[in-house]
Amino acid sequence: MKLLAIFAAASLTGVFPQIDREPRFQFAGSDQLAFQITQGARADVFAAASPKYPEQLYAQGLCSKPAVFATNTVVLAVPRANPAHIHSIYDLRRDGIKLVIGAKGVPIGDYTRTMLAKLDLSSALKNVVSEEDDVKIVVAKVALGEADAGFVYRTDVKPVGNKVFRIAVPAAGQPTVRYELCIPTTSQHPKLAAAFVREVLSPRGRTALRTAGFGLP
Amino acid sequence: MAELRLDVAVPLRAFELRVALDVGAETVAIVGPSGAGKSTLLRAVAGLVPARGHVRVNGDDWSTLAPERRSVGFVFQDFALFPHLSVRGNVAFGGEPGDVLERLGIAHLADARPRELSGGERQRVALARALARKPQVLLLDEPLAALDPHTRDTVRVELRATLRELRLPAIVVTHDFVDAAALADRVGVLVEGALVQVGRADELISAPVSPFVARFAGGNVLHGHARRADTLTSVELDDRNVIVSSDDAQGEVAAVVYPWDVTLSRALPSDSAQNHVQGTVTSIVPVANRMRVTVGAVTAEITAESAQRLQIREGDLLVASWKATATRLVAL
Amino acid sequence: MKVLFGAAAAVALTFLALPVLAIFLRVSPTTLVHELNDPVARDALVVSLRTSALAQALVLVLGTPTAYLLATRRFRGRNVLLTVVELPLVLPPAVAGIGLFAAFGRTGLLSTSVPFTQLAVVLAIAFVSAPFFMRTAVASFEALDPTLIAAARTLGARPWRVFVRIALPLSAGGLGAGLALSFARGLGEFGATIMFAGSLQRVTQTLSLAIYAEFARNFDVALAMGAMLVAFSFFLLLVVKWLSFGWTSPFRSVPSSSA
Repeated sequence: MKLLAIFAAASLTGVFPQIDREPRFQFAGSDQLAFQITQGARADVFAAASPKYPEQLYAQGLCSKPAVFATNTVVLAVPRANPAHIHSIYDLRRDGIKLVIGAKGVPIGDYTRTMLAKLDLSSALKNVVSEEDDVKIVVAKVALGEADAGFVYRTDVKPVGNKVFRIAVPAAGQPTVRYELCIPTTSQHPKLAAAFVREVLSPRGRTALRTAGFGLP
Repeated sequence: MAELRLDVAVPLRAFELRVALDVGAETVAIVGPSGAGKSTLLRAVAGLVPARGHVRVNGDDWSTLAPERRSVGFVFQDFALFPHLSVRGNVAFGGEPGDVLERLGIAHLADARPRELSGGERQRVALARALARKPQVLLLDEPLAALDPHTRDTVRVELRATLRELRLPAIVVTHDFVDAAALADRVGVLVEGALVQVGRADELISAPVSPFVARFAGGNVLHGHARRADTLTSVELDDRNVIVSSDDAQGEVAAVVYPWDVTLSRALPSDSAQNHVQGTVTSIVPVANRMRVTVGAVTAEITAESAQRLQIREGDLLVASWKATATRLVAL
Repeated sequence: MKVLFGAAAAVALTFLALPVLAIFLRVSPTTLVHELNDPVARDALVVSLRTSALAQALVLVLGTPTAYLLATRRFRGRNVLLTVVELPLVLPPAVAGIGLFAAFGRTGLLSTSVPFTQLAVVLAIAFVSAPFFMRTAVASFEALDPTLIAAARTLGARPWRVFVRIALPLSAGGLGAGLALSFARGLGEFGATIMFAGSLQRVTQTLSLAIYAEFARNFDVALAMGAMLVAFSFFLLLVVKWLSFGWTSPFRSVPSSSA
């Protein structure tokens, strides 16, 4: 029984196992996964929340040509109790809000900064109290009620819907969030890896992604 | 009038320690087999172990006071000197040293650390430390036990002199009867938590209340002055009798002779290798199947048959004889 | 047998030394110094030093009397308390982080505004490293010769004086060694910190957190910080070993037989 090692962005934690329960999944920030692959980690598939890292690896000759398989949107999550009374993204201009975002280099962190710049809301960054390396941790801190707000993916809100409120980001500011995957050259089971990729891109896989809230290319 | 009155009970593992004792401005030695509760008794007086009953010193009731509020000077068996303090630091811990360092002859060691000192020196520091507090009661737990035999003799002499000088109520615990007899005015024998006999050392020898006390009390302790004479040492006793010993000693000594080494006769034997002391029979005490007969200053332990044969009666004139080799000399 | 034991020792020592050596061999000293000028590294160093110092001061000041009480008093529930003191040792750091939230978070038992602040880092470090100090401290106090304590009492010393003038000086070596362990554990603290305090440059990002944040972005800086941490820990360990050696050797218990 050959177990595939799938390195995937944290935001895929819920949906990938639904597409295929068999492989061994490692969910983390896309930047860290990419780093581990450059250090020789044996991954069979690399699925990132941004084109940046798969393209980088491809340029270095470390993986196959990446393919887009899903899209996502960035939203502002606040705890159900909404202690800071945030009703729109513009409320983040206020002082004293505990805002948690992704660290620089982590896709969600980069998307957040791009988005805030686009909306001329970079001043909101003064409210950042923590920069996480993993979007799931951002979600967790908002769900716990300890953070007043956090920028996460739309797909991250669904699993904690009873604890978290979703506030949309104006379309003008919405960054293009494209998920790409590729097969690292270090893969020990390229045939099976290719099979997994096909599954993700298949109608069944796309249905699973859509149900989880992802957009489809 | 310096006085310690105690009546305490302390439960121990196998039995209960129950002692009632009044100690004036004197030294009382408590002797007994190990495990009898001797150290526990001292600790009860110091307040280091909880005890029922009362401890009264000079009219004050100490029974409810914590150890640090009792005016005791405690010399522990292993001296318990604070290793991180100098001699001066140790002695000053309890109070102003005053001249106690000079009095005990350790002023020159004031800056030394305990680990640099010899056993005898440590003993003196421990004593100085206990005295610096100007205590009302002195408690010494086996003060000579941790010393080698040679040092013991010297320290015993000094300690005896110091105790006499201080005139404080003092309790000395020791397993050695000779030490007890040399240091103390009275001796109490503690067996399984109870004092079976308390009295002067010679009383314990001449009239032991039980074979145990008899065995434990050990020998006759005769005071005298020693002088070397050829191969033997001649000792002039306080009562002018002269005896000889194969031990080496000079000056004031205690000559120890065990009762069972002493034989009695009516006529003076012609054996010159022996000590012969003539005296009047002052007491005859049966102990188990033997007899303790006190002739002058010496108590002999002889078989009942021998006593029968000699037809000893109080007031008779007898000769007590024992070998020079059976005479132990202890410097005083 | 000597060959076998020698071989085992060689393997063990190499295994322990290699990762540390490799850090220094991988980056040249000049690169190291250059990378250390990176603001991320400098800020992380400052945060680490401040929070560690505060945390260990807390551990020392609160832990010493606690250890003394636990070591010298016998009371019902003592064993339970001793276990409580050691609990953080067996808690996975992430669980410790969750626990800290549950206790001091906004939605926690004692609702405070501590999370995400530098104080949160101090608390997280103190929480996970305290057991290292406490264990050694309790053992040190327990090893005190009870006769010395008894002697001090018969000399009129009240409990406070016994503690300050006898117990503390004689246990100083053990306390120092315990603090070293605690410090080292605190420097390496990660899981509880990143959960409870979060990671923000200059505020809560300690060296450990910065290394984690940077290794994917800027490996050389991460390496330099790693080297700094190693050097710091090594130096620290040396200093305290020297301190405790210098304190304990003259105070080895005095032998009872005469010299």
